[in-house]
Amino acid sequence: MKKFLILLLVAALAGYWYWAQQRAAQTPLTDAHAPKAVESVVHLRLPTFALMLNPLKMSEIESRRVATLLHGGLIAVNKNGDASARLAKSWSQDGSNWLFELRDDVRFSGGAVADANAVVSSLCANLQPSSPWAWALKSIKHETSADGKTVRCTGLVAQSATKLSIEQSNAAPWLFNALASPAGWVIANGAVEQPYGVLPGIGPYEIESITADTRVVLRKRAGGVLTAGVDRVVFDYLPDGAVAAARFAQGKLDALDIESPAIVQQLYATGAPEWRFKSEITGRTESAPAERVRVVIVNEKKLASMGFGLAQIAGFKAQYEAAIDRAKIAAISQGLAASMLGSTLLDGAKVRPASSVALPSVELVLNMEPDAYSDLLAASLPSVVGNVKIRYQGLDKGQLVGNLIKGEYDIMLMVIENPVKSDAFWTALFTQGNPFSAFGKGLAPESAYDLSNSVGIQAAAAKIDAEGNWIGVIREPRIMVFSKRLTGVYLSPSGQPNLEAIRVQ
Amino acid sequence: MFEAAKPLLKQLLTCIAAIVAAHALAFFLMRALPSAATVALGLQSTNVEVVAAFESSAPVRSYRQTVVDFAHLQLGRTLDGTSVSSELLAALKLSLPVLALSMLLALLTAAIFALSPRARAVVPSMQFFVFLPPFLFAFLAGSSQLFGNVIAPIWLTIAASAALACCLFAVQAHAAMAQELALPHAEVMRMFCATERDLRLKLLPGVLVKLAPSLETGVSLTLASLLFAEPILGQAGIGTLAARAVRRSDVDLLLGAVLLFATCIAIARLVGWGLRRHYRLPT
Amino acid sequence: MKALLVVLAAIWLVAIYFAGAIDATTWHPIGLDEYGRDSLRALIAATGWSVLHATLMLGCALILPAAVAWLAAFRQMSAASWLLKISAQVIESIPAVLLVLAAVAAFPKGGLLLISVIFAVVVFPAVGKVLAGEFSRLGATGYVQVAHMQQISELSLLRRYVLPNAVAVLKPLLLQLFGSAMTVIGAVGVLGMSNRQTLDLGVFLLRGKEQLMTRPSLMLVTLLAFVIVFLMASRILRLTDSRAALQVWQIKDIGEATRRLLAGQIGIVSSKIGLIVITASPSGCEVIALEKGWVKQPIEHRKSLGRISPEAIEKQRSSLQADLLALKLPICIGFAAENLDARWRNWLFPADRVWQLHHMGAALDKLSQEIDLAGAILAGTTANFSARPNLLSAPPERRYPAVLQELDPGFAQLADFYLDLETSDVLQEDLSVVDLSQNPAVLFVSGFGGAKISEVLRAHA
Repeated sequence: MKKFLILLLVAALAGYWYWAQQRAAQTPLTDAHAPKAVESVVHLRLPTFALMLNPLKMSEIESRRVATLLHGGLIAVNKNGDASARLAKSWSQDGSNWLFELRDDVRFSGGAVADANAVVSSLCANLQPSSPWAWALKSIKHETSADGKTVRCTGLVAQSATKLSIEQSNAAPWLFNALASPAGWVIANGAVEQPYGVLPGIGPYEIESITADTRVVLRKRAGGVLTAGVDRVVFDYLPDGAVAAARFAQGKLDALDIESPAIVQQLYATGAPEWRFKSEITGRTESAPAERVRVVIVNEKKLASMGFGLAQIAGFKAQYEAAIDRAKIAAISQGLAASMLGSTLLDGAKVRPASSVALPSVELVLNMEPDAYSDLLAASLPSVVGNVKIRYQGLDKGQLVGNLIKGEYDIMLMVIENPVKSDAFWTALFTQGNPFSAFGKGLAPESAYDLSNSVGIQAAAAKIDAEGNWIGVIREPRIMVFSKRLTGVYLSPSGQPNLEAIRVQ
Repeated sequence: MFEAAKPLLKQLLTCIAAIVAAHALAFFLMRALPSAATVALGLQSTNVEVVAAFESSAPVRSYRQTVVDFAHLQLGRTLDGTSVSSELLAALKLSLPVLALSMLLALLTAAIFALSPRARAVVPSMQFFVFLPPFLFAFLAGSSQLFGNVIAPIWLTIAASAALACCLFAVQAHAAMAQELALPHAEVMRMFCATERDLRLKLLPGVLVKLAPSLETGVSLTLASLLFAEPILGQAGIGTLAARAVRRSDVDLLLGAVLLFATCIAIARLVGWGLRRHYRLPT
Repeated sequence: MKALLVVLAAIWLVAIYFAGAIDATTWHPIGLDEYGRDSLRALIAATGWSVLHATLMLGCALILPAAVAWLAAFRQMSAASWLLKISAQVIESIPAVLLVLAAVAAFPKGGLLLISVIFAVVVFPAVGKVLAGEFSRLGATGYVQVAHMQQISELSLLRRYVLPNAVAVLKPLLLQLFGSAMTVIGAVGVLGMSNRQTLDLGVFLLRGKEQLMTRPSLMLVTLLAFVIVFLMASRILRLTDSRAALQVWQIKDIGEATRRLLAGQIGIVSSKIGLIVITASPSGCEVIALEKGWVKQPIEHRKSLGRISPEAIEKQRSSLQADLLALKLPICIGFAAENLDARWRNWLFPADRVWQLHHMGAALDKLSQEIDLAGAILAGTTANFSARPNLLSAPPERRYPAVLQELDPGFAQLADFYLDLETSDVLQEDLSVVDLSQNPAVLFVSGFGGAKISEVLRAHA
């Protein structure tokens, strides 16, 4: 028996030694463990490990955040609409033509030169129907093939290695926003995609390592559009928001999105508008104006199949909207949201006219994302509207989106990440085949409204208000906290954080 | 010789049949989930061309093709473009020591509870822990991270994974030792002035062997706990890998994970069967 | 216990009634939750609902594995055995998150029914395996084989002989599964389908984990609720376990067993019990209660049952022979409570659950002494037995009494006793089946012939 126990102990020690060796390879990088003397390392959070860093395939915001360090475009635009030079050092407009003068000292991370040809091929690739960004660059002149599967980019001309012209067929006010977004990022011609969609880019960093379900490490490089501000950027996979907040409080994380009231309570002694941290926590809070909205989307087809007439559907929407206690919802959000009046997304929107039409006795299910904050919001929404009872059920995000696209839901509480001010988003509701039309129900043709000016947008908004299937709930500003040493994070026009210019003080 | 090997062959065939059945069931269950394109592309999946481009870069194999490829030991590629085999190996390298240490811990706990007469007082607590849901241990372990990394996450993962198996083995070992102590040969040993300690030490191997049927249960409990513990604690391993595969509808990766789980359980079953056979316990 | 359960049920009903409402009172011992509900009342309601759901879910989840285990163990269906073996591996290999997500995707409005089905599928392998093992073990025990030979229906066999004895082994598993069933809704919430307002202990755990930093009391009181439910469930299982209420001794020989019987030291679970069995095996004698209830079957109906297979007889014969050679005489003595004379029923005290079996004991005392003697003689004089060709040539059904008469006149009374039994209409089949020439000390008496036996024994008392 003693021999058995000794053997057991030896096996345990051997196992522990083996495992410790393995784990040593997984140890997070810190300044203390840096191989060289005093490297500057920034630690950021990755909430989900579902990376797709190829701009041609990128569709979710976490990948985009990482990719802002790897890629760049002709220009960069901040939330105020101010454009700054990147690959393009200057630009001018000639009618519907934009002429860009490019730098000649920018290299891709693979070493190839970033020239006008690379820009043309990148933008043209994103103009193809198979690109998720085709809608953003639609205003650039192009010819679609007979079968609709390919596009010839007649509006993109590389006049020389450093001169590029972009001609628009219909002038769109969001062209520069699009060029600054992943739609406009420049990729090396003929580059082969690596795992996780890694492609050579012109950003200030390159991928050092990607360890599945653990971390992504980027290191600085020379030859990018910007000089890297830090030596390494480490994205640690932290699925639990509370744990991430605790890490920030301990000084182990340099930036954090404040995405739930629980995190507000964890970090702050006083929330909005003072945003005063608890005594033991240091940092800096920055918030951008309301960029995200939560809306209730009503599946009118489903309601019709459940016995709702047209008037009853309109009545349900009006009564539901009137029943939402927006002040209470704003209060429970602990400063993360402002109540949103009206059904549309613009300032000064009007609520639907009151309705007292009798509704059928049915039970509807409100679906939303399964996180605690969405649950709290859903619980605060009306549970009874006339004869209609509403219960809620959280669903896995993939399933939620799938149900939305297939129309297999009654009503849904959705977060829309794109901002209020994105004009391109507005046209979605009128544009067949635009991905965001899944939110809407397809209204009058686009040509009925001139969306290039605020009058047209207001008219369109009123139309959505009257006939659309959205009910506004809250607007959410983007609130982020940063460690005192971290600077350089800015927000794009679509409200997404861009990390290319980060540096530590 | 064939006659002697027949029972082993029968067990092996059962295990292989179970692995194949698990693989098939997982494949068809995945059909019920949203497609990988919908999950990855989100609202972009309303665009037919975008979906077509996605699916051309990550083609979905038919079940027949999956089986044929598996016969050639090709498990496919993940949605991220990495090889499924390499991802599984990497995850296994991280989780296997956790699994092994968890089972070791469970056996040690069983030994302690069998050897110590005073353990009787703690058995009701063990029964209570078995009563608790498996994800609670992961919750409690994860919650400790909120107060700083006092304990390294890996130890928390081991603790959360092993907790249920330890409690189960402890209760069974205690009961088995009580049975052994009531048997005539224990009486005879007492008559020969064996002390309680000696008696328990001598009976311990028999008690541990009686846990052989529970080995498979212990392994499957630990694997199930890993599925909660690793994602909650943010640790890489087969649990996080499986959770990621399911949420992203990554069919190839998930089938690989299911094969891995099924193989682990099959190995545990074979070992348990072998032990029962060796010690002539009912199989 | 009943009073406590009534009080708890009342508290639960009150809690449910008030739980959902926004609280207008000011008494909030542990405050309000994020939905404006009183936390304590919500917790009590959640505990009650969880217990109710778990009981129903577990009850339904046991049906299929019990059926498959029965088929595998008693009907020897290889398909059922294979199903149990393979299902265990298959279901345990599938990550629970996949099962849940796939089920919810396929049946989005499934609700509690869907969750119950998922639970039943997940627990099927574990429960099936344990039940199959236990059924196999019990199927090989003497009293179950006796019952088989007496052609008791399978359902009665399961209900009266097998399940009550299987419960003792199943108890720890049941307790574990009950705990899991209570929190399965919360587990589904952890995996991503949730409604945190649901009054369920699992959801409370999920919320407790999410609010650990801001409201740690939620996790603590939820764990306290678990402790309370566990203690109550354990207590209920103990109280309802017939074996726990029955004192079991490892008795060295049949003489001691009988002496204890006479001394009234053999307890019976309830006044409605039907069958007690004292069995002897190579490891000693054991007293086992077979059932808690009794199902009356008319004697005529029992008589009309067909004969058991020759294989079963052979099986029984070989085990008896082995016992005989081991110098231990298997004796099964059973008696039917409800067929007892009214005088004996007066001696039933449900409160202390002990029978005073004076009359019965006296008869059995005599019988046991004689059986002991017979056994000793037979064990020591098998050579003598085989040297009596005239005995061997006697017809089987008459062989034993002739042997006893031959060996010792003192056995005359015993022989009369057996003769009486032989002439009993009911036991005729049993005796001939058992073949007393091989095992003279075996006496199978069951509730079937209870009335007859009581008359016979009274006559010998």
